[in-house]
Amino acid sequence: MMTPQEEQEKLLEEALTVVRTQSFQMKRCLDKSKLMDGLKHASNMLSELRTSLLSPKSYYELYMAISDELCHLETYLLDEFSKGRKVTDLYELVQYAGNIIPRLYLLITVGVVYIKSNELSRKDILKDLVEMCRGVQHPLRGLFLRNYLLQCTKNVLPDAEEDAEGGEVSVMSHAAPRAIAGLNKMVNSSDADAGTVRDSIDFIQLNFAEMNKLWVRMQHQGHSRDREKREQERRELRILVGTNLVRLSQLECVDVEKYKKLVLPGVLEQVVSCKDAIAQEYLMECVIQVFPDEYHLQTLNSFLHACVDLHPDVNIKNVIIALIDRLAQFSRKGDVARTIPMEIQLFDIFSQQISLIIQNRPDMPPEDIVSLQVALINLALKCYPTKLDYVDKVLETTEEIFHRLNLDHLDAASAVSRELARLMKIPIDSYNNVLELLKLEHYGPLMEYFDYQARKSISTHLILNALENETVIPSPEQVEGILNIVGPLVQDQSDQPEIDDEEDFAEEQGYMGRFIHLLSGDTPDQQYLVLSTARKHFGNGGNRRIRHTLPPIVFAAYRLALKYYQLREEDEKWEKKCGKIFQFCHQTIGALMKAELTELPLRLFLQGALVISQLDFENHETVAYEFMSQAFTLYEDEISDSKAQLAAITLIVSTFEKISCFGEENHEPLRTQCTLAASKLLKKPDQCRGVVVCSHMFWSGKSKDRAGKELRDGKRVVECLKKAGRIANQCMDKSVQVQLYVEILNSQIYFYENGCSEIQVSSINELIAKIREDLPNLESNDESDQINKHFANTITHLKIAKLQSSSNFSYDGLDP
Amino acid sequence: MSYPELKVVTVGQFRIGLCHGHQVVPWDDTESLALIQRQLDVDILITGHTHKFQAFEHEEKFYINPGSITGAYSPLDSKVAPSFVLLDIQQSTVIAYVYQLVGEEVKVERIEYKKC
Repeated sequence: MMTPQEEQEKLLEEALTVVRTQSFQMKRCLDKSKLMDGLKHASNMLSELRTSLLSPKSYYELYMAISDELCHLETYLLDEFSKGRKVTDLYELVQYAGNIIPRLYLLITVGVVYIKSNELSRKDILKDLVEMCRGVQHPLRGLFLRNYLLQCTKNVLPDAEEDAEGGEVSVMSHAAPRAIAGLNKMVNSSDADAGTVRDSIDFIQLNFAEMNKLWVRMQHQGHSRDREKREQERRELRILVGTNLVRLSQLECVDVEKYKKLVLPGVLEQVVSCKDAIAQEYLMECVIQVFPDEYHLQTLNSFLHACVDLHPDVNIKNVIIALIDRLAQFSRKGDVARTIPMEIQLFDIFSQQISLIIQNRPDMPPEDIVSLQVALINLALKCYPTKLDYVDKVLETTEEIFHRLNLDHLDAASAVSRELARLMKIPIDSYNNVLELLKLEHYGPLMEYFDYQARKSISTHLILNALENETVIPSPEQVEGILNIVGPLVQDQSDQPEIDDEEDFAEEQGYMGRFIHLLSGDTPDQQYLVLSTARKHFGNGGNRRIRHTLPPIVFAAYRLALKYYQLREEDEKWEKKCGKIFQFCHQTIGALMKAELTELPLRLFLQGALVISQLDFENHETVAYEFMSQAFTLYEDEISDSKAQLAAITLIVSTFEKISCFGEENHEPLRTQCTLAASKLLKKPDQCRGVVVCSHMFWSGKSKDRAGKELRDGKRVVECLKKAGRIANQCMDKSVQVQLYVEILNSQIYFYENGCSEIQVSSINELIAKIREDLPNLESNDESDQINKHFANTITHLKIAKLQSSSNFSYDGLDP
Repeated sequence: MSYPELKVVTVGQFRIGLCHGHQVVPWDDTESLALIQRQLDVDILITGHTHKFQAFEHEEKFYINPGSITGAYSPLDSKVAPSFVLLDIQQSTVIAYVYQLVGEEVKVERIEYKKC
């Protein structure tokens, strides 16, 4: 039992064997000029094409083999004719072949020879041949026969405007097929009129119509259970039918006028009337592919009108999109001559016709409707880039359709959602300027049709586009507009699921943080409004978001305050404005505190204090003090981890050291509080280090009362260092103790070399001796190695310093 | 995620210390940076925090502050020019290539440091 595949192979092989044998015989006879015998063998060979057993694929192979062999026959005959050895009545003779298939193939072959040898009327022969082929009504055989006709006549189709003889086209009845006798009468006609391009068009149109009918008939042959197989086979044969259209497009004398009047109407009529989905879909796409874009531009209405009438199973969306994309491409080729002529309202035509098509197809799936809108929007953007209202129109239409279909809250995974998301992203990617998007009235409303997932995805896409293009947002209205559209990234949404991925969330909030840096008003006053608007939106983002989004706003505000300060000559209200800004910042940082954050607001207050200290607006000392005390309150109330405490107090002190706007009235309490806080740290080493850090406040801290000069209170410095020493003494861990001593030693050196004369060289010597004493007693390990190196480096430094002479200090008496 | 406050890495013959710099009091003070250098026992000390590029030798040790690569805002300096530094370490020599964005131009400087 053979598989169907094997059976086909066997049948084909058998047929090909016959072909080989018969063609060999045919050639031998022709070599001996035995034409009739040769024709007999040719006829035998052609009989193989009478089979009903071969699949289209196999039939095709057989057909190709036989066509090749027939070439020899044609060549032989052409040769004979050219040598003047005309065979009389050959045209009649070949029709005595027994069966219709061999008869017609031979007729075509001979007919072409006649044409090429300028025998008889080309026009008449062509007409005769195309009509005669009606004799084969079997779809498969008929298709290949007519294909043979097309292939053979490829180079002999008349392609002239007028009759070759220069006269008018002779009037002949085109209606009835020629009888054999009638044609023979023409043999002696000297008026072998060649025909014009009209005749070719008629010829091809007829062939096309007949082939299409045969092709469609295949759909209904055989059992309904084999339908899928049949449809597949039909698709394999589609190029045979399409070749007719290709041939039409190759006629040089067909210009746009002829195309409009003679070619397209006939083709469309055949396509629409055959009422077959497979044929219609293929042929419409074929028309788009084979004819030039200029022609399509001139015939849009007819073409699209035909689309309205197509079978409901035709994937009309693909056809329309193929056309739109071609025309969009065409318009972009840059050449001035190639732009769309003004009178062709391309967008309007497509817009209207597509609406008609959608109306006519109530079962069209929503994603296909959207795909058509996508094609339209691409058309608008590519062909009419300046016309924003076209794009808006497409969005409006889409919204209307969705409203009509009662579609809502589209699942992100669904085809319609994905297609609609595609639609939404196109203007973003095309304009590369989110401000343009705001001009599209229907953009925002359309967002509401998506589910949370999709809204977030589109919003992210939008923000990323702004970031990549560094699009500056200059007005509060525009800020409002954009933040409304990207709602899912700004505030909690009613349909928001539980947040699952922390990293993703942080990343997307990071984008928003970066986006804030793009908010930049044209003037400082404008910028303040911009920031206020942003603050309002982001402030509603909930605790998880504000830690990412409020800090950039605060920093933007600090920069703005600085801006006002720099432009203070030009704005008499600058001081009040600065004050207002820092109030704004205070509130904003306060919001972070309410969200139970501590490190972040602490740092923001300290940064703020630094900025305020530099801008001497009215009351700035009070405001700076307020910021410092807020920072301090956070430290006292919220920071409990000891490591964090030391870090925080260090930060507070080092910030304070840089601030020069405080008078003694404010400076003193701050100094005291810091020192107190340091000495109350839980662990001794932390206390020690904290106190050392505080010593700097007394030395290089700057007070307004001293015109910004350093305090240089050496006495208090020494007190701090002594206290640090006492705390170090209380450490139980010997190596920690020695480490602390070395640190204190270095601080002593620092202040001494800085000109602090209250530090005695003797105390430095003392400490050095103490360290020298304790070092050897330490356990030998990595830690003590480090301490030793630290100490050694310190001594090296002292030695160098001792040799240098300096106005600040003298190391006389130092014993390093 | 928590990173250490101080770190030392060894590349070739050089011990390189890393410290953000906000812990060093006063900020941006050469002598106080030297304190850290001695403590970590490094040849090169890299710090930041001020967003201001610096590179200098002090008592035969090399101090680098690469500045801010993004030109980020700093309350200590109203005009931050974006900058970064590449260190080319060969045997006992380090060449620092300093890239700074001044206006629209990228300026490159070359600074050499030899270990003693």
